[in-house]
Amino acid sequence: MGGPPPGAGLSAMTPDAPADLRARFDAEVAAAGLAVTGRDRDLLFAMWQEHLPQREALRAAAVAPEEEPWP
Amino acid sequence: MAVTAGTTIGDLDLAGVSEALAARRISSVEVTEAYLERIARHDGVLRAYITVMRDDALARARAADLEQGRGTRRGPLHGVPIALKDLIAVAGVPMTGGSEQLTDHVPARDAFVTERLHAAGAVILGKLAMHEWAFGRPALDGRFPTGRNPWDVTRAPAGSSSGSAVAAAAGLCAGTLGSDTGGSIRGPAAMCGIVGHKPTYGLVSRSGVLAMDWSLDHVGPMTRSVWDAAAMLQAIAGHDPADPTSLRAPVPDYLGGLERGARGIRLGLLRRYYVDWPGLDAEVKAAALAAFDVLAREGAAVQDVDAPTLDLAPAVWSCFLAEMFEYHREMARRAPEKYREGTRIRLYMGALVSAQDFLRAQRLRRRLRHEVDTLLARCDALVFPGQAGPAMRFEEISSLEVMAPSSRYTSPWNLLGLPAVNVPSGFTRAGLPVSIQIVGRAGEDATVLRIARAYERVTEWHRRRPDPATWRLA
Repeated sequence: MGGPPPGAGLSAMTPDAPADLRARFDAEVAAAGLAVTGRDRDLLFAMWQEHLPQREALRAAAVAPEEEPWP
Repeated sequence: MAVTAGTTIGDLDLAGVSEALAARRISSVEVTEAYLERIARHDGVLRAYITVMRDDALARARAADLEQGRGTRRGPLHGVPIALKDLIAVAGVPMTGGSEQLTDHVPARDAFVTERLHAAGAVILGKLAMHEWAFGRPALDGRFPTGRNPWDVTRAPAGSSSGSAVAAAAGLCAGTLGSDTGGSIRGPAAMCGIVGHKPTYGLVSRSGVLAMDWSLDHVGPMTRSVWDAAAMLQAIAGHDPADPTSLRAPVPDYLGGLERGARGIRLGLLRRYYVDWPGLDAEVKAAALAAFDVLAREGAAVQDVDAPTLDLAPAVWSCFLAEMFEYHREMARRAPEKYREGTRIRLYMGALVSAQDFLRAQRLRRRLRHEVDTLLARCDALVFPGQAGPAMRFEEISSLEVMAPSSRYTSPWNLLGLPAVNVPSGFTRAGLPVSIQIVGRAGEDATVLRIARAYERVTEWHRRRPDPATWRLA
């Protein structure tokens, strides 16, 4: 149970390694349908990375089933 | 502040101008010309204005004088020169939003708040600088620079209602309107030593005002005193069928109860989240704690309170960038080069908010509302320092962050739509203004203004003026 299989390498053990992060970012940009290239894409990646802890905190927050989204 | 021998137009607050006009010690044309002359002399450095409406202002001033000469004075704004953030429509006057995207945009109709100000007899002097689309960053270059802080022109006034704060603080008009989606009224008010009031959501119509995030946008006054803010709020509050979020509740008298003081008021101090935050500047903290002691001496009961979900409020707020992206989607596709780089990248961040994250944010927003409503059931208002630190030098400000950490002092209160006012509470050793913030129950704008006034009337901070002799560039 748990942990990567033997020989899977460092990237499999650390899901936030740079290459994985870039792949995750690229997938999100593609899913959003954004056509962003060059310097803009690099800057967006930097901003996305910087903001990641906030987003992870949001996703990690425990929410009870009865907590509905209506304002 | 009343007119006395040696007083210049730059010394007066809105109340002082209004009183002088009512007593016919000065005409609206004279006071308008005085402000126009002051703008011509100083705005080359301060850059508060994008458009100066000289001819229209003088025409309205003449009309106000004629009307008063016939015995009709519409109220405290009659003949008083004010100015508007350049995202509030004035018919026939360019409205840029501080953006190259809108350089040719001339609204055909007044915004609701513009109509209200005209109906109150106000004279609109012009349209004020702002951060691009209300979410850009300070800028000294390009067609739409965002203004310089009159307390130190090497520092930014903060934003996005930067020009509104600069113009009010520097005496380039008697009062201004700004807008606030994450702190854009209260932040620059704090940095420039003026009063900034974000009204209850829906109290002031957004129709005719460029949107940033529909569900978080508020329009409100930025002035030199609490009385000034109350007078402007009185003119602009009220139901507007053209704004689907406009409240139908009757508008109370905001000036009538201002002097009732703080005796018997229960204040909740959000100490853990705000006062104990390691990022809070020591001088801002000391001034705020001293201010809460003043309110206690004035008869308020101050107790520590907490709302644990405040910790997640900035993350929740950032999900509302999705609204911003939706508003800009077509413009961003058609002409992305017309945004400043930092603005464009932040805009794209809004496209990366997933539906699941947006709904999670809404659920947490509701939880925060419940926690704060519980606090406000036993407190009349919440208080805390009005900002994380004093005004920053332009070169210290990052143009590439989703939101500054200091936005924790303002953005949660946009999520909840509660009335919030910043009032000056002192100066740092370097001479930069600091403030406290007071947040009340929905619809109880009169209470937060009353508490702000209770503090203001026993302090002198709001009477200090920046020195025009320092408005020079090296």
